[in-house]
Amino acid sequence: MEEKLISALERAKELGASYADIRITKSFRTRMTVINGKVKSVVPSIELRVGIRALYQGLWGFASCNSTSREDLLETSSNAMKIARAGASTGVSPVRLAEVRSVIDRVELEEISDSRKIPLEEKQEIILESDRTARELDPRIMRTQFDYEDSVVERYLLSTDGQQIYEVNPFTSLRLTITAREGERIERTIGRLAASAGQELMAYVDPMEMARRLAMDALSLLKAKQSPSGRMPVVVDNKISGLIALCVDLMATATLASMPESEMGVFHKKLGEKVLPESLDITDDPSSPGLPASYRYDEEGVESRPLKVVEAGVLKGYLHSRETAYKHGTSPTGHARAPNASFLPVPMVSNAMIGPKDYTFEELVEDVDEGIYVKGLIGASIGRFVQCKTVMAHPIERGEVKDEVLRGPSIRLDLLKDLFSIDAVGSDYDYLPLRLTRADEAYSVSGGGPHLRFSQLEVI
Amino acid sequence: METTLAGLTSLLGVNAVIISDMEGNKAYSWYRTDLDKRDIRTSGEELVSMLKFSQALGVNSNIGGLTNVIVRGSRGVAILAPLRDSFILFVSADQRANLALLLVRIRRAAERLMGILGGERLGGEAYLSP
Repeated sequence: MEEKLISALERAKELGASYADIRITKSFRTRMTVINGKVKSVVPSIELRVGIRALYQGLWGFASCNSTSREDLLETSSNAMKIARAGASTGVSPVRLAEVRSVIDRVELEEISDSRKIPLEEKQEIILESDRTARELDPRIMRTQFDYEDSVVERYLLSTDGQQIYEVNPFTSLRLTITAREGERIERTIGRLAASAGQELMAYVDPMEMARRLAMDALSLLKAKQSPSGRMPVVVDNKISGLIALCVDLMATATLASMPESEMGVFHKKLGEKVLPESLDITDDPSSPGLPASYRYDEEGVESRPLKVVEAGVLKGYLHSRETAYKHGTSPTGHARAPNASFLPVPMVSNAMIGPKDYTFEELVEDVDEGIYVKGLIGASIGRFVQCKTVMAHPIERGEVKDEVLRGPSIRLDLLKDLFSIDAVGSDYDYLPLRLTRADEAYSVSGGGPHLRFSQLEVI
Repeated sequence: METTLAGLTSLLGVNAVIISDMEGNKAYSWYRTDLDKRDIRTSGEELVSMLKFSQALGVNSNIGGLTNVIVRGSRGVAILAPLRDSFILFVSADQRANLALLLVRIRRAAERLMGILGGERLGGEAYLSP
């Protein structure tokens, strides 16, 4: 196959490209949905995508296909060049790419189990048993839904700059939604697991126990009173701090930071400035093995590494592709990502993390006279203004978290203002896998962090 | 007993299932083949000792109550699950076993066994008849 890919790159060069790359993604995926103990759908799929980018007189052309035949690759290469040439007269400022070292590498699954080799019945049994564990707990559990997905994605990159990379990325995820009902009252809890792993995820995490705990939480919410509302001291759990990490990280992508007119463009020209409280360190790390958005090389063949985005509250760096790195006079950071080869790579978050500090949970709450502790995430709208719906809360009174369960409130944050009311950062850590969607693109990402204490936060 | 443990003994890769009491007496044992019976020499005393050691380790590591012990080797995995402080369920499997599914089936088998343990006490001692 390599010979066909080289021919396609040669075609682009013959037609005048100063740079060209071919990306191929072959995705082996299984999706399964179980509702109330019944398998509602099982969708295995194999998807091949090919994308060819060509740079002509500083303008990109891009074309994609779903075949690796010689004819289709050559035609796609020609189409990419046609598009680049058509744009050459538009007067847009030319694209230049930051230099990268050429890499030839092959990254296999190695110790990680290959989901393609696990029989479907075994995957189903794990999900069905987890579903049964939730449903048999109590007759008030009225609905259980388990959405399972595993994939093995083979990625291939060949470029005129000498990148020749083959990488296999595994991924497994499970989303659990448990609904309990008593009379007219209905309550729902949601749990998520995801990792760049095969069935190890299910062995490590114990989905049966997770399903049982979520069902217990849903049942306890049936008797829960409404949370208080207003501005008050709030301790948030790892899921919510992970969401905050992700939102800040997103604003540090070079594309958004280059758009001062956008709501998310608030980090425009803010490198080196204090943007968050001193207690916050935020890192984006695609190289951490096992996290949902882990990879060795990004879509441009740049090796991934941890990037300090915020250190002691100061904005230290943007997430870059080769193109944005050149514009900013810096090196690419290994954050050029795309859902598959038929999308152009853009700077994108991977695994965002708020660094733990030194407050134990008891120390976080002991200074709170009257406030709440909020846990879990049902959903959120993200941007500079984040509004998220939480699963549940507990009152904090005179330095103690009470056992009483409250219905999860919504909390609203202006990331640039409200984060300055964080006055204590916990010493623990956990992460929340998420799916970031933008138009027809969807990225697996994660946000993680410790418990955080806000001296004052808006609770709705 | 075969019915209760069928979910384990039928799983690809599982080559031994042993139930021991807390004195180290094997109350039940199953081996996939005679070769497995010859090669898997785990004794009841070993299981009790491993469980007690792991429980102490769990306490000192502040990881909460013990659910199971998983020992991974180059050729397979050995798993111990305590049954209500009275018995220990031991399962050994080679690399073909799907560990995630094995843990699910061990949990189910343990629940059924604990239901049996709760009901059957003969003459002040609890026995599991094979």
